[in-house]
Amino acid sequence: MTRREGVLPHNEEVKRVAAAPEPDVALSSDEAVVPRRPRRGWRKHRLGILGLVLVGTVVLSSLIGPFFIDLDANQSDLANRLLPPGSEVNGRTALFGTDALGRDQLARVLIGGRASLSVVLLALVLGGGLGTMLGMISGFRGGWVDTTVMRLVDSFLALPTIVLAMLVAATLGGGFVNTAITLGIAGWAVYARLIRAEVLKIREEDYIGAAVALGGSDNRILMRHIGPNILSSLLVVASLELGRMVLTESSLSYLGFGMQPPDASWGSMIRQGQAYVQSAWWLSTVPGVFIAVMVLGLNLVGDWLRDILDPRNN
Amino acid sequence: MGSIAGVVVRRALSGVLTIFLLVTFVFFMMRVVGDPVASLAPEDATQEQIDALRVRLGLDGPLIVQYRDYLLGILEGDLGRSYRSNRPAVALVLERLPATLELAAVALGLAVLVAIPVGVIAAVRPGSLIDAFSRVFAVLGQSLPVFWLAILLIIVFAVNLGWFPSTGRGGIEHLVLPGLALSVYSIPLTMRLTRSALMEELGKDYIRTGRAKGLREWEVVAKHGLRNSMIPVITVLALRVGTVITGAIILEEVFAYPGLGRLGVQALQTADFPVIQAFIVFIAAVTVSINLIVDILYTVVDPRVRLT
Repeated sequence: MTRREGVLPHNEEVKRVAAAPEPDVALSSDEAVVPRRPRRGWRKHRLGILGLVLVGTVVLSSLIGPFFIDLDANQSDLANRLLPPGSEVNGRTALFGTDALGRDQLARVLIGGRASLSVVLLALVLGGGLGTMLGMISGFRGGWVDTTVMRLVDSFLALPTIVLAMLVAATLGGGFVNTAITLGIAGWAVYARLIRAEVLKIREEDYIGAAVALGGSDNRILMRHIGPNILSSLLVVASLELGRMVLTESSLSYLGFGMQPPDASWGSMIRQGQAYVQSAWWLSTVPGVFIAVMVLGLNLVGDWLRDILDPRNN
Repeated sequence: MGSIAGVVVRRALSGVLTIFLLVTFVFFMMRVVGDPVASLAPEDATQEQIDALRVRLGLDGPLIVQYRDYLLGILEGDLGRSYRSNRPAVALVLERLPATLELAAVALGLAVLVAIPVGVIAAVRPGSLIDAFSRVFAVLGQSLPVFWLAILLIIVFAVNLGWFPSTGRGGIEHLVLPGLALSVYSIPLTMRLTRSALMEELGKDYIRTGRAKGLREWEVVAKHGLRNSMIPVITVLALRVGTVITGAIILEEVFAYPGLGRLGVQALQTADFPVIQAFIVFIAAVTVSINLIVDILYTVVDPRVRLT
């Protein structure tokens, strides 16, 4: 028994956690049943707020930062090439150094942020819109429409997102609008599948039956009754997908398929910087930090939204 | 057993249908939306030269005939010859496959070596420092752009310390940095899944029985809990083969590693249609087959699945 004593505390811990969904397991132990206290106050929102702060910092600096710097991000200055962070350039401090053409790295990373974030946002609208629409129709109609759409979804999900995106990008070409379309085409299937599942659940609710009995048109039922009820799921998946999309966009631009030079985007800056890893480590490092902070923030916000919007967690 | 065979046939058919739809999408995407001849011909080519190129590449017939030949070719395992090297596309893909498999094996090995022990400790000691570390690591691992992480690895271990080469393929030392970076795709999920699956398993009655009959704690955890909790972990890892492919594609580009991914990226950059086709059919076939195998194994192991 002496051996058992050593493991007792964590043993209780395991039992408590494992028992949470099934109270009858806990009842069989001789310990009093202490239901897990609901996390109160700001603790529950701590990580979500951190996520919002991270996202807000990156978004705001990209949006308004360039106005304060007042430098042309595409202006080369061959006298000041590859200067390390903190160097003096023409009487001002280049916080993140300069690149191979002497362009200010801070100005470029902020402008690149504008490009990367706006392309991802447009892609979200395109892909999310298409996926949501098809998912709603598919789930609501059923039958051959449903079968067709779901087959398409399966086919699109059979390829990794980046492969699909490269394929579309190679066909359409690079640039802002094409990259947004590419990411939208590569991403719609996730929304369609999720929204269809939600609609299937909601369709069985009594209030939908009531709306049908009252003679509501399909359009009205989809827009007034089903639409509002899928919003919270849509919000959660969109925030998580947004993070993945930022990563996909940067990978795509890194591989040379996304936004085209001379315009900066985070992925292409990393690509260009890689040629100088021997001498100028900051060129690839800095844009990656921006991507990482942005995606981390979005993931934290997504998890937080899932916790507070999903009633099963209460 | 009859019903199992029925399920297997139905799943296999739907897998074939999935690949067929995808292959059709690729065909129309490349040949209708884009034009391989336009991207291959030099900019100052005359109309005659363009037409000649079109005939030489077999892109001059009616679209529907091209589509038929394309589908028949796939059935025969003949996906045409590379526009660039004039070698069979399938041979090019198969030639590059071992390099990518090597890389994936190293990454998977590293992932298992790191993720499972950490996951077990996190499950046995929830709330401990290692548990907290694994949680932070999991969130970070899913948020960092891995190709960027790979460049940081190059800066630290290849440029500054000079321990490993940063590009190419050769001995085991060439696999260290790409393998390490690629494992970051699998470690977070494996770690968290091991933790949650093992915690669930340790709450079950037979574990209590094991403890009651005086088994040592490590025996309870390793022999009983861990073995039973590995099933969901292995399943999810198998189903997420797509993320490993994604990782390999980007990381092979970062490390100039001559694998399948680099072949595909180069083919896409140069509009080498037969190679793109072979690359995509291959990846889709692998993904769909793995899904199929997992599905079938589940049907055999768990009769309840057959009802759905």
